[in-house]
Formats: sequence, structure tokens, C-alpha cells
Amino acid sequence: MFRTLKLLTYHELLRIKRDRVFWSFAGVALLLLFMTPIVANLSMRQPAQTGFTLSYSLVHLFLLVLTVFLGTQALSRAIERRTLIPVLTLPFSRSQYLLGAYLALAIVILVCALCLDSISLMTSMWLAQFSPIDAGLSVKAMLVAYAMGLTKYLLLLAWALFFSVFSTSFFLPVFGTLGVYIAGSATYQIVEYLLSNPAEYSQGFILLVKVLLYILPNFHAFDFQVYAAYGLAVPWMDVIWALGYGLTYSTVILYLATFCFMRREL
Amino acid sequence: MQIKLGYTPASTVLKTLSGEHRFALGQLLTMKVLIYYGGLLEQQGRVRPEMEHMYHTLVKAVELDPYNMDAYYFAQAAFTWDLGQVKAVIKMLKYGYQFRSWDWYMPFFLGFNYAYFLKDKKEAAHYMQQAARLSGSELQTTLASRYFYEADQTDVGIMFLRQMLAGAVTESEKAIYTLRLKALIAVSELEQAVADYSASRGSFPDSLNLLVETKFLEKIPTDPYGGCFYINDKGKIHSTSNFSSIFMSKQNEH
Repeated sequence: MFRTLKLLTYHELLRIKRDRVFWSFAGVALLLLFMTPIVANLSMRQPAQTGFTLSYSLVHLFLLVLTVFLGTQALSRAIERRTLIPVLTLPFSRSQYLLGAYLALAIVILVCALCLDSISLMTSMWLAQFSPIDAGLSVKAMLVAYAMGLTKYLLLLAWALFFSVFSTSFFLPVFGTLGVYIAGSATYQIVEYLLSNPAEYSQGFILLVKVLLYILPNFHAFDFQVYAAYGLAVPWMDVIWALGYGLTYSTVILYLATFCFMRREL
Repeated sequence: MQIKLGYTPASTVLKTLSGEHRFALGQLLTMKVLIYYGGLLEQQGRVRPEMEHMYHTLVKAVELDPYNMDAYYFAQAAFTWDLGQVKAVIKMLKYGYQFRSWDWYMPFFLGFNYAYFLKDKKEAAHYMQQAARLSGSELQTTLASRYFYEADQTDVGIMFLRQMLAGAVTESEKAIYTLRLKALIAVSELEQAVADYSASRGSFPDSLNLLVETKFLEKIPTDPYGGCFYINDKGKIHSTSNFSSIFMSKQNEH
């Protein structure tokens, strides 16, 4: 089982290598290295915080693009180029193939996130030296913020694979995944706004809204950058809860994707 | 050169659309205002400042990132002295103090604004005591206990500017505080001469030239903002510049 998964993951990694993801990755890394300190130096009182929040945003924009395009093309390209059918004649199941593809993509995202987050961390710590007041950056909280950001994109990757199971076209997988990302990022604010006057709504409606918030999914649960930037105490229970939520959600979506993929005619 | 700040959408919309990028967006909005303000200073009053947009952009920036010290620091530096929006700044600082509850700068700014601009020494002392407690600084404690009950307005201003100058990092910050400090030291010198004159003659001088003629003042100091000092009928010292490059430009415009 694990040997098969390892082989499938390696096969998928070779395909990703051919896509020259490395070049876009290098571009973002260079931007991070040079642009962040320049922009952060415009800050009067908190260059380190500015550096951290800007680099965090830049890294996550890159991870979003990477997740959407790699995730949605994993299956569709293999189907279009007719490379999937010969692979599936080998002695392993479709679910193993899908899981192998997910692991390969997850490894690519993990490696990119590790490298870019390291640059972001080092740049922010370097900028902290020039902070006129105690910079307040917390390395521990920064690592938590990076790790939770990665968890979020692994969840989105599961959605991207789920959509790519249905269609080989460009539109449904890409816009479906982007739709989940936008909805997942916006729902918390919408719910917060709706519930700012809880007296106006029934308890049933409030409960429904809260349940919907986590079904959509709730990407706000993975956002810990404020604790990192301003050295606030990390709410560890929230971290554990978000980690459990992310893993459970990704597993469910991957299971659904496998379920659909096994029934799909190729 | 055309300098426009423009309208910024409501923070609810920005928060909803920006998601995890709201902190970066908050920073970028603050920088947008800083760059716009820098452009205004370079124009030396030839452009009418979009004060409403500046203030609302900063409010939206702190609603996106309520910990953003740049926004509070800039609002304190620019909106109080140059633009006279003291109550708006106090509102923003009180909002920020709920989040930056460890930061002595927040109650320090609040205390100063109440003392210097609103002349509410009770509120000023309340916030200065909090600043003293948070900073643990002897100077802050002195300020809380002495200046805000005993010192006059100009002394409070000089004390505040010396404190800000000591903590300034960039050359532009230092230049702004140095300029204002020079202006207040000049005002302090004039006020002392007026006080000596009125103690001796029992009335305020009609003009500042009279202070020089009667040897209470060696010479009238120059206003570093380019205006001319004058004395009103209540014995208060003012300047035609109102100690603001932006204000001078607005005057020229009219």
C-alpha cells in the first residue's frame, strides 16, 4: 500500500517538475527578499510587523495560485493527455492514485511554503532590529501562523482535487476552487456582521448560520497572523481545534473525491 | 502634480473581501495616507488636503488591523497639530487602546491631547497615570503628577515634543518634531516676556514690538513655519502660520 503510494507520489512529482513550478516559486522568493524590506521601511513604527504581514500575504497569494492550478490540473491533464488510463491498468486502485496525487501536490506545497515562510521569517526578524519600539514579533506564534496557513491550503487542495474529478474543463475546477476560497475567507466576516445584532434573529437561525460557517468551510479559523505580528499569547485550544477541523474536513473532501472518481467513466 | 487620495470602501466590505490579507491591506492603506501626506507637505499648501478621506482611510486601516501602530502614530502626529481633528484622533486612540492595552504610547497620546488641546487636566492625568504605569518610566510618572496639574500649555507641548523627539527614528520624523519644538520654544520665550511685562505694567502689551522697545525681549524670534508672531487682546501668543505648513497653504489659497 505505502510502496504504491510512494510510486504514485513520485510519478506525480515528476509531472509537476515538468510544469516548471520552480521558476514561479523562485520569482516569489526574490520578490519576498527584495520587496518586503523596501516596503516595510516606509513604516514609521512597526517595520517588522509590516514586513511580516506583507510577506505572509505574498506567500499565501502564491500558495493560492499554486493550489488552484496544480490541484485542478492534476487529473484533467492526465485524462486529456491519455496518460491516466495506462497508469490505472497497473495493480492499484483509483483511490490510491488520487491519494498519491494529493500527497505529491501536498509535498510541493509544503516545500514551497517551508522555503517561502523561512524567507518571510528571516526578513521579519531582520526588520525587527530596526524597530523603534520593542518589535513584539513572536517566533513561536509566527511558526503557528505559517503552519495553520499551510493546513488551510492543504484543505483547499482537497477541494481542488474534488472539483477536478468532475470535469476535465478549465472552468469548473478552477472557479469552483476559487469560489470555495472566496466563500471560506468571507463567511466569517458575513456571520460576524449578521450576528452583531443577535436579538434580531432566532436561536435556530443563529445555529444554522454557525453550522453553515464551518461547512463552507471557515478559513478564518486558520488565521493566526495577529498573534505572530503583535506577540499576543497564542490560544492553543483554538490551534488544536483548527488543526483537527482542517484534517477532518480535508479527509471528508478527499473521501468524497475518491467516491466520485471511482464511479467516473474515463 | 495631481495629488489625490480618493475614496476607500467601507471596512466591512474590505474585511469580507480581503480575508487573510486584511492586515496587509490595513498596512497598505496606512502607507497610502502617509505617502499622500508626504506629497502634501512637498506641495507646501498648493493642494487642498482631503482631510475627510485621510481620516476615514486611517479609520478603515485600523478597523482592518486594530493593532496598527503606524496609523495611530500618524493620526496623532498629523491630525492634531496640523489638521485640528483632536476629538476624532481621541476616538481613534481610545479604539486602539482597547487592543494595544500594553502600549504606553496610547494613553500617553490620549493624556497629551486632553491636556494640550482640550485643556481637560483631569482626563489628562487619568491617562498619563496609565502611561506611567505601563512604561514604568520615571519621566512618565513626573509628567502624570506634575506637568498635567501645574505646567502651562506651552510647557506641556515642549515636554511632549522632547519625548517624541527622543523616540523618533526616521530623519523626517525628527525634522517634523524639531521644527515644532523650535516654534514652541519661541512661543515660550514670548509668553515669558509677556508675563514679565504684565507683572511690571499691569496690562498686556499692545504688540510684540513693544516688548522689544521696553527691553523685556531682546528680539522677536522667528516662526520656523514661516509665519509672524502676534499677541491677541487676551495676551495669548499666536502665529499667522498657525504652526502648520498645510494651514499656511490653505491661507494662501483663500
